[in-house]
Amino acid sequence: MLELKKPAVAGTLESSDIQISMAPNPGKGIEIELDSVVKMQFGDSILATVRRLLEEFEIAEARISLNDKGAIDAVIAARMQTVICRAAEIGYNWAKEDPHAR
Amino acid sequence: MNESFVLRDMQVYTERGRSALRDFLASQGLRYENDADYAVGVYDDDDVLLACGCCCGAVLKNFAVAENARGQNILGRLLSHLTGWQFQRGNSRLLVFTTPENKGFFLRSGFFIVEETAATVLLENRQNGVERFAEETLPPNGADVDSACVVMNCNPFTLGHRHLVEYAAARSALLHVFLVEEDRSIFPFAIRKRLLSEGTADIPNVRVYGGGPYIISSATFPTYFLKEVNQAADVWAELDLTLFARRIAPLFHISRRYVGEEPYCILTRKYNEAMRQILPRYGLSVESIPRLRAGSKAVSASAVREILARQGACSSLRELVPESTLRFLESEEAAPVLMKLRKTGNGGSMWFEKRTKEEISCLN
Repeated sequence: MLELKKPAVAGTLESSDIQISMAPNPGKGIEIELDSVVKMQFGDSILATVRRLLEEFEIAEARISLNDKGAIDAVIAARMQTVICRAAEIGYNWAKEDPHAR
Repeated sequence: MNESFVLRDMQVYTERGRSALRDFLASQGLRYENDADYAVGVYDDDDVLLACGCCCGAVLKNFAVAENARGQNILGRLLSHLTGWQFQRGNSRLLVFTTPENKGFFLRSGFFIVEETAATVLLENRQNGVERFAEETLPPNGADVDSACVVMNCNPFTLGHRHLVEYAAARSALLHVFLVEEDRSIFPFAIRKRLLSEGTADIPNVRVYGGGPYIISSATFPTYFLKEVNQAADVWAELDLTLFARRIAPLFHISRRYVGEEPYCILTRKYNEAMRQILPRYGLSVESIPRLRAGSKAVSASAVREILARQGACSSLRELVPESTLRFLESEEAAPVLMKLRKTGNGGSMWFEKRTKEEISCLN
């Protein structure tokens, strides 16, 4: 399980981006607040991506606030990776996602 | 969309930066309170300033976008940048101070309204912040009785404060004492709180808390810390008091607020006046009690600081402060505070040095 150390934020409020803030949430599991301009159409899909990333990083406790301005899936995933690394104070091996890296 | 905007630190720590900011805000019909610790500007290709936003502690404010640059989500860029910057310096609980016209933007950007008046809106980036503040502050099954309240800065705790607390506590089932939490006074919050707690420990129905960001803070009442008397002060007093009456008082079951009469400071006097106007509208009563006197003068924290600055901890303080405060002032722990007092030669604010003596003397 990855433990969050401090509150962090990633992303912006620009169109096609998402601003994600994340904070430790000891003893209270995962709490997510979603605010999106396309919540009706894509709310579930946004939350699914967010949960997928939480599982990938093995995060069981976090308070997450999502402010989505129409970001596509890849952007949501990238913002999640960044905010998790910041909140957990860990580095991320971006090269592992590059199929051409040796 | 114009992609050639750049965001740049406006360098408010320089006079040049401050005057650029002041001029721009003035051109947008806004007043610069001179308390930003960070400001960012948005510039176009020709280095013309189009927009700005400021930080003061955990508060974001002074947002302005020039007429011809609107409709491009510049406010979004500013807010994203300032939010990131605040998180980096460890502030994740943010407050926004803005005008009613800009309210919608912040509501769409993850902020929630704390309180609003005709002229101003205060928002924060968490839901039900005031309720959570009350939850965290109140002892479990703490305050289900009709209560009264006093708000003080205690810089430091004097017999005058003691007198007010005693008077109010004797007339209430429970007395909540909110201490101004903002660390912008000579005596740090932790010390002010300790001296207040020690000095009132023998009164059983008194509870002491920090006022958090909701009671006389940089967010609700910035000019309190600047001690500037102007039209803006009325706007702030209204925000602070409306927030108190509508949100804080019900959660703490407060029906009365006690306040000491203010013989010296115009700003505090105006604040007290506003209190008498606003609180009764929400069913709260206000009782103003005369200051405790020592000889011919009213006991005040500024008088104590005056003596400390001139003579250090000496016996003439005995008629102004209780035993517990005196003990602290004579202890080694007080040395840094006394040093600061001697250096500034008054009881003034640490952040803003260019205040006149008269203005400073009222920082209670």
